[in-house]
Amino acid sequence: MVDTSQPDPRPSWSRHESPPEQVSHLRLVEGETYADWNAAYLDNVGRLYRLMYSRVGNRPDAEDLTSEVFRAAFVPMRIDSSKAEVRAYLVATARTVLAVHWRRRLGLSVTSIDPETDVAYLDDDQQPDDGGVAHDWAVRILAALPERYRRILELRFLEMCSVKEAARAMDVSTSNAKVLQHRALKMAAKVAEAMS
Amino acid sequence: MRRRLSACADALASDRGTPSFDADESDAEVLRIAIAIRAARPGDGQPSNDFVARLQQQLVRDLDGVHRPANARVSRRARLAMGAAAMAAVMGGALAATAGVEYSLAAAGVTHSSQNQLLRVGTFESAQGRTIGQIVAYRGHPSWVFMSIRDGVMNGTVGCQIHLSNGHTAPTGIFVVNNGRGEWARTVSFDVGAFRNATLTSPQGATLATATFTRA
Repeated sequence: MVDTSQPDPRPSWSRHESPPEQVSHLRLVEGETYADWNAAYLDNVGRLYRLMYSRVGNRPDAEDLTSEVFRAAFVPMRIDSSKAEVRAYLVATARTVLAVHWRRRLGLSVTSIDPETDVAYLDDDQQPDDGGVAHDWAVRILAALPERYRRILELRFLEMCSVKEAARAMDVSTSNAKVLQHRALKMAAKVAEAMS
Repeated sequence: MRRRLSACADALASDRGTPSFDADESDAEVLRIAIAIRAARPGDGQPSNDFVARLQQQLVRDLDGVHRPANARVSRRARLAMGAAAMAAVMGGALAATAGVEYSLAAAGVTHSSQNQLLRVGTFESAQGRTIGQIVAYRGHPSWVFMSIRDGVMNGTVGCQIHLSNGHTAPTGIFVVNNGRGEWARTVSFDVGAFRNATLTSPQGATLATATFTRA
């Protein structure tokens, strides 16, 4: 028997396998349609980019993958589809594009998109800079790390310091900063696993 | 293998694309964490204006080459609108040069006669005196109106009316401002030379901003 009383703290894309009991959330189907392709693009480009960015963690890949999704989706898509259908199609395309990206780059899936839950990224009520569950998850992992591990990850990934700058800020050598970063990420991965 | 993984993590920390290597599941676990922390950085989840405009222009080119008999009318209108809006997005805060207009219209497949061209511009100012956007009208075949709004406090549906020198008002439609940003473009059948000013209105009819047209 699996205890389902505690919600899984991890964002959906980081889970290795589906939770034991899949819950399908019924969504309100919007009847509203877009006036034209441009309206569909402008309404969704920011949110789709944010979804991709949350899965790859860097701008160049997020831009490439967002472009790929729109270019792949817009050609066969019917613009007289409802907004909800357009968004569902974009997210479904994004899932495939991201899967292909990881297979080509690393030979396995690092992150993924779940069309059932991640279509919420394209909802109208999504805030522009709302990291949501993924943000909270990262903050909790950082908080669980020893001070030096947390600091090196904050400096490198949140404050965008170079290795040299991070080493200087922590008063360690550059090579030591690299080792710290590697160990910190390894420990963070273990913390994430334990948290799940 | 650790070196490849570290290089990958370094790329993420420096906002570079993920390099290729043969990863295993333990590498993937580490990269998931690096991505999660990187993605938690406030403000980085927003696409740049430049990227949005570039992709918009790319989509214009993509859709231009697609034969869609079932949606032919919508397709053509969409292509034209996207070309125009891409131009509006690209011009940003500066006034568009005529060459810029012609480039976008050419990209959208619009033909026009050069001797009848006219470009008129206006800056939208709110009742409180804030500059919140621009409107550009172009006389050609067809004639166009482009609009770009940048105002942090504006959100939702906005109407636009253009007032003509003969006292008549030309309702040009509604568009959506999402989180303070909106671009909009459409063809118009009125003489651009007769445009006097433009008004942005709320759905309830209240005036949000006005712009007076001048010759570019």
